[in-house]
Amino acid sequence: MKRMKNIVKITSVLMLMFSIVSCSDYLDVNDSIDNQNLDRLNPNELIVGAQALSAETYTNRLNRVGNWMGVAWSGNYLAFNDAYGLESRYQFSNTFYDDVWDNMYRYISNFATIEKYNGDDKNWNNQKAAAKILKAFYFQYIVDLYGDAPYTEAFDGTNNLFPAYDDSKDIYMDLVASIDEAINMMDTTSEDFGANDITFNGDMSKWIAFGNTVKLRLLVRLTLKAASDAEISTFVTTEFAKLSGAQFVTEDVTINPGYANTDNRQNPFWEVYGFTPANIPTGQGGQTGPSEFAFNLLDSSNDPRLRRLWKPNTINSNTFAGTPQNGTGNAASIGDGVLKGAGAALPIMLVAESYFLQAEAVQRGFMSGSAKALFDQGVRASFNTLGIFDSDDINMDNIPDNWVTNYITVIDADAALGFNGGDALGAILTQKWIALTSVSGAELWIEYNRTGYPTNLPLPLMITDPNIPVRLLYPASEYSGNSSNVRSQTRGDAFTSKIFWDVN
Amino acid sequence: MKKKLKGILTLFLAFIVHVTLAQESRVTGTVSDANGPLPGVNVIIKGTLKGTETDFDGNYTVEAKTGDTLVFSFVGYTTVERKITSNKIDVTLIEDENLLQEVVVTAIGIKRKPDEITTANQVVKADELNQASNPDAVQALSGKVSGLQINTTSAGLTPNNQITLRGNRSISGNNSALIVIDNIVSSAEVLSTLDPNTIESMNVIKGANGAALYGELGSAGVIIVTTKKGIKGEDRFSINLKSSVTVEEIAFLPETQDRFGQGWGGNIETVDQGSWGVPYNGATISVGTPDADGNFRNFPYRHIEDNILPFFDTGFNLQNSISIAGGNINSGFVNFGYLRQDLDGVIPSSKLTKNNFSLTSGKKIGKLTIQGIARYTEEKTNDVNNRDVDNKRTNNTYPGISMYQRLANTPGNVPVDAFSSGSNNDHWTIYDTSPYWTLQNDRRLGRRRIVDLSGELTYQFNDNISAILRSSVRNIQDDDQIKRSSFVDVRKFIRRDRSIRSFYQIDNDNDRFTYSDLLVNFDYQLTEDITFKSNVGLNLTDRRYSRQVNGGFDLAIPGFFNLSNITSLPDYWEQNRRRRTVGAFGQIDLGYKDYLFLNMTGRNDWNSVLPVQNRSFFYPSVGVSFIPTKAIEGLKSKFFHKAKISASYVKTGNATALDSQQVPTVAINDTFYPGTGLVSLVGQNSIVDQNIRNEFINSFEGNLNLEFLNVRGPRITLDASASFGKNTNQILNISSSSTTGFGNALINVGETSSTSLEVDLGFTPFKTEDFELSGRVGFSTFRTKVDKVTDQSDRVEVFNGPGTIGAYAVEGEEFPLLQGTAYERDDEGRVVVDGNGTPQIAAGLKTLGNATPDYILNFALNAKYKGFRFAAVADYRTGHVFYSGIKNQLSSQGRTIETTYNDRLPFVFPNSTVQGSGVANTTVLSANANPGNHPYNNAYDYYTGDHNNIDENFITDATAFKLREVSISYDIPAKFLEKLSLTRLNIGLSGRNLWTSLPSENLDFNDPEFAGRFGIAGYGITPPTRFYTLAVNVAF
Repeated sequence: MKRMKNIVKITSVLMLMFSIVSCSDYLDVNDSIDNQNLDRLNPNELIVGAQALSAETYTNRLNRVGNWMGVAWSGNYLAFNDAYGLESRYQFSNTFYDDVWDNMYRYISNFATIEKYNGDDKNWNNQKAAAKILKAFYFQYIVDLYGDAPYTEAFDGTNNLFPAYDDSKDIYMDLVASIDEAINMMDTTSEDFGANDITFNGDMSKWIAFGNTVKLRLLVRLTLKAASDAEISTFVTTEFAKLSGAQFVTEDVTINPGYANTDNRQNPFWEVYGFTPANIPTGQGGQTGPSEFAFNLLDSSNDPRLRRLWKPNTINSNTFAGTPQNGTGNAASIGDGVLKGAGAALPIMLVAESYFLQAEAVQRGFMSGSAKALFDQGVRASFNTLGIFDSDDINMDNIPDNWVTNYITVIDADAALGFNGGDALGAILTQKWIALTSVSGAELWIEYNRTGYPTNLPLPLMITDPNIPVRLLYPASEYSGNSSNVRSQTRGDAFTSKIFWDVN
Repeated sequence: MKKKLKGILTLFLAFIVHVTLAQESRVTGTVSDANGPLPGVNVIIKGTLKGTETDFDGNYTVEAKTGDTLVFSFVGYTTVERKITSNKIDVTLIEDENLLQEVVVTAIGIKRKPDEITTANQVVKADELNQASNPDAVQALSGKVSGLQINTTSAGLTPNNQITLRGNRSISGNNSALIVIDNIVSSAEVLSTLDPNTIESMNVIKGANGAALYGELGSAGVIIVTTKKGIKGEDRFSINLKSSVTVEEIAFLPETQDRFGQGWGGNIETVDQGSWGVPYNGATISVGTPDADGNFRNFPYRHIEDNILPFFDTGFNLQNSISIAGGNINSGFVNFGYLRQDLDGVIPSSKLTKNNFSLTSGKKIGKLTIQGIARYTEEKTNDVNNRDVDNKRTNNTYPGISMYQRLANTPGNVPVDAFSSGSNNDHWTIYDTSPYWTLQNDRRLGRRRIVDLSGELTYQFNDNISAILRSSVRNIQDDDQIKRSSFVDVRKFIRRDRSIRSFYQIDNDNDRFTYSDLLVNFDYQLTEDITFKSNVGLNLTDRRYSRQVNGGFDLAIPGFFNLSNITSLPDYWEQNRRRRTVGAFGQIDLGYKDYLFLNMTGRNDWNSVLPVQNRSFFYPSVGVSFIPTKAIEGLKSKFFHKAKISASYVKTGNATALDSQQVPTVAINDTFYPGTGLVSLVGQNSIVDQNIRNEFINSFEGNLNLEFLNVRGPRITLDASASFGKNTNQILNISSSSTTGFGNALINVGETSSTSLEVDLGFTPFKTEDFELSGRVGFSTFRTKVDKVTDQSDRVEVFNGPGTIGAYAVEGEEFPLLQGTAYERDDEGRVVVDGNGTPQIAAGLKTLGNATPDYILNFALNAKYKGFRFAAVADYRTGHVFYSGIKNQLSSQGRTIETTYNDRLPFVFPNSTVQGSGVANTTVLSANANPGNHPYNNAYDYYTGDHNNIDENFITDATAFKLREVSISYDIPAKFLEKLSLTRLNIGLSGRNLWTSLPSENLDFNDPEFAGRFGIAGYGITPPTRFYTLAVNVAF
């Protein structure tokens, strides 16, 4: 009996201890101690990082591969023996620029998170509208560089770890629709966007203009395909009609979350191609120079922008020249018109592009207006963005108007560069190629594949492949993480497997 | 001391008296046991050291006098004393069952007889552990337990040792055996600070049974360490001193080509890192940048074998310890230990000093027993900063690669030690920082303090019931500093500014682990034949981790390393983690007579890292053991000495793969713009399934232990253990498609099944009092097969290597499987090339091999002759592959032998066929590189391009035979020791990692063990090293 009593006693002590433990909140220690729960963050808390990081990938990776494949850049061989080694030898594989896909999807997912937010009773419509526009802006590049891609099933975390691929044409049409949706949902009663909008500082009219311009770009990309695809033809015609009278961007679209010349705060383009806060030139900057084609195109037309896009290479005995891709030469360095400063705002769309897009749409008959006037405005905007210095190499804040006018007049009848040289479309596209160099590099490559302009872009030396690559290959992460859905590709696909709008 | 002297004096006097006064006569006889004559039995005249032992026929002869008492003793038998009454005395010894059935400490401190244990275990006693006088208790275990592997997966000052039992059971969770010291949950790191002399025994529980009571901590097996508690039966102090010196040297370096030197694209470039120059011609050329006086240094352009070897030093590790023990549990005991270690690593000027104090004490007062342990370790390191600076965005002025990697790039004609001035201007290449500059100017200083406190209260209510309360706290505080001086490149040599910014960072982390058990034990003899034991208990754990990192660039005053002296915007971040578990468990042991035992356990865990709805999980186990040699009369004979059969079913649950803080989808501050007032959080790159569950492992295990030929102990032992496990809901961190918005996802993945087989054959061909030779051969194999991945996918990546190589779980295949890019091949296995002769990469990823060995053979040999002991431990593993990151790097630098194929001139790719042609290819591989005026450029283009993109080229046979340890030690005989008032004096010499035999495919690129469990290896801090130790052990 005594034995039983002991057992009872001890068991009850155990039970008591246990109940104390289980009743208390002993185990509730894993709610975010120092991390923020993503679902609970309001759009204002997410949108700064979302804008800054996607722009960083845009300027460093898309820009870089585009400037190379679009033959604006070349490697400065004498700064580094294997400068742009992979690019110059077209080493296309599923690890080649796979971070374009990986980072773009990752950062676009922040816009998707903002769109889905319902953590409080506020509508956040303006932030959500901006997120939709930026999502369309960046997602277009996924399609333009990869073709079919997960879209409707994407951004769903563990709910769908193996998203199916959508047809690239369908994605395009949905991106256009989502911009309309964004513009329609903008709302003056929404939560204040203000300083968290590091693009337009909360000015929703500018977001509308930006949305319209992104939509314009999507549509212009489809114009050539429209000739052979009735669905696209109808779609393009209808959507262009809706853009009639729309406002497009009238100034460079830039972001600036507070770039400064200190660590981790530098303008990301400057950070990679410029100088460290201790003013040490970066290795990447040292090995980047103009292609022989790009340099000669501007040099032969006495384009004053040449010395703004490029400058003498101070570590290479002031070389001021271009070099063929995959060559072994010495080249100039990125110029001050692009490398504007560690604290400078980062452009994601230049106003010149807006004018050239409009000019092309008008020239192709999809929109009304004067293509020549828009062309001139585009060139003027490009001069404006780059800034011009006079012959004494003194920076000037105000561009003498006659410099631009003079240039436009001089090249007016130039076969490649002038509106009246016989190929107005070619001139528009070639001028756009010049204007977007080193800023929106992806456009150089994509638009070349769409239109074939600028004509005669050379292949890198010794390349045995038949043409400039037409796409990027699906990344390694899809073969490891989504192998049942991703299409299998070989290196050859980079040269033959065209994006749906590519009828060239 | 006085007492001791007196004792010696008495002994001495007794000896004299004995010699001078004794009347001697000859006594003979035969000693036998139930099976016949017994050789090697000790026959001693009581009270003297005088005696003999029986010969092979059990006969003895001894000179003694009438009235003396003879003491007959033999291991495993009851000692017999006989007074001399005649000159022929025959004795029959009886096996001492109690002695053989010494109790073993098992999980949560429960003591059992070996027969009662229903899972595979092995006990290592103090003398076996210390046979090689190895200064490290963890390393001393190596080769002594079948199925136990001590893998050193890195070199350097504080190498990473992982103790695994039966391979890797969890795909992504914890695979390190749990270390329990004196019933307190501890770590391998603490164990290696223990003086091996203070250890009484180690019980290695190999099966899943450990987890039945220890919960998830014990899911990969448990090693239960029991330290000595005072001295048995004597009220005095014993003092043990130990000194050892270990020499460490580089074991091997990759074999490299000896035909082409420094250069790029087929030209000599005297400041380049690549080995793409012209063939060696012996001509004198300048190498590297000029010295301080501006003079270029000239060297013959020819290969120098192992040219980077002079960079490394010989390492020295001096270790001294003292341990003092006294008293016993009844009178109160105390053990004190102090250990001091001074280590100089193989990387010049890398140092480690360690001081370790420990105090153990306890006393029994009536029904209450109190024990307490306090340990304190302080370890200081001063090492080169080998890690990438924790800077969130690329700091591209400073390459974050390891010292060894940078050295390995050095072209073969460069005499590395000629550039040792320490100036960064003085280097063989302009494309990297001088490692000698780094040695002096980029340091990582570390200080680690471990406080380990524990207490145990035992209350014996009566003969049947006792309760135990244990509590412990272990606190590890790491304070690291990175101090880098600036380098200003005034020359801007040729076209690069190699300036380096000064940097200072402090990195402090604190890891506190508390563990408490409350346990009630019941012990009853229910009937004459049936015993009943039971324990019920409650267990609480709490782990708290916090880390703060602060730092920045550009010191205002050079050399003044203080955060206030940083002129750049400082970088800072903080991390906190918490994990708590509660476990309630119960256990019942039933015994029938002395040959049938049943064990049942049940445990419920509540784990804080799981989502609330999945926190609680229960798992039971049942095991049985049977001793036929005791149950069936007449079965036992001298030849067939013992048999034990045991089987168990154990279900265990764990969530070790799930880190704390993971369940909510959290945002991180990936870009931060201080001073702007903006919040810039974004979603992090990994996601955890919001409904994640614990893993369950169901394992069935069968064990057979046989002992044969019992002549002074069993001469042949055979231990076999087979297990089959089914794991469900494995928690895997998969590489997810980026399109989900996340690069990694932690999810429960389908099912895997594992099988393991271990056979361990022990043999002792010779065993006499003076000479003993024994050995062991172990065979073990462990396989995991993936039965199911997820509903949507039959394949996930679980470890992402460099580029496209990765480790995968693929349905129906062994795990882990290496997959990556491979050559496209036709049906005949020929490599498909395009019209330019360039080999094509096959679409998608291909299976390149598996990373788990087909089997591991372990060999151990022990010999003992009088005071000499010799031991050797080796193993052989084969049937698996690894990905060599070093081979990849060396081949793109033009360092591997294969890059000299066809003298680097254009070649027809061997065994290839042109796409679709069906015939052998004859087109010379023409690369995309501009050959210009250098014909070797094709090779450069190929090896840095296509060849480098194909992972298949770097898959290497991981077969290895390793001679892990050879040791010899000598115990000075007792008769000399007495004169010196010593109880033990031992000198030992041992070597570790002495010899590694690798297949020809692995040209010493790396030790395959460095590839870890996923089979993907990169550069370590240093190449693999080997060790020689001399140790002296003195006790008095």
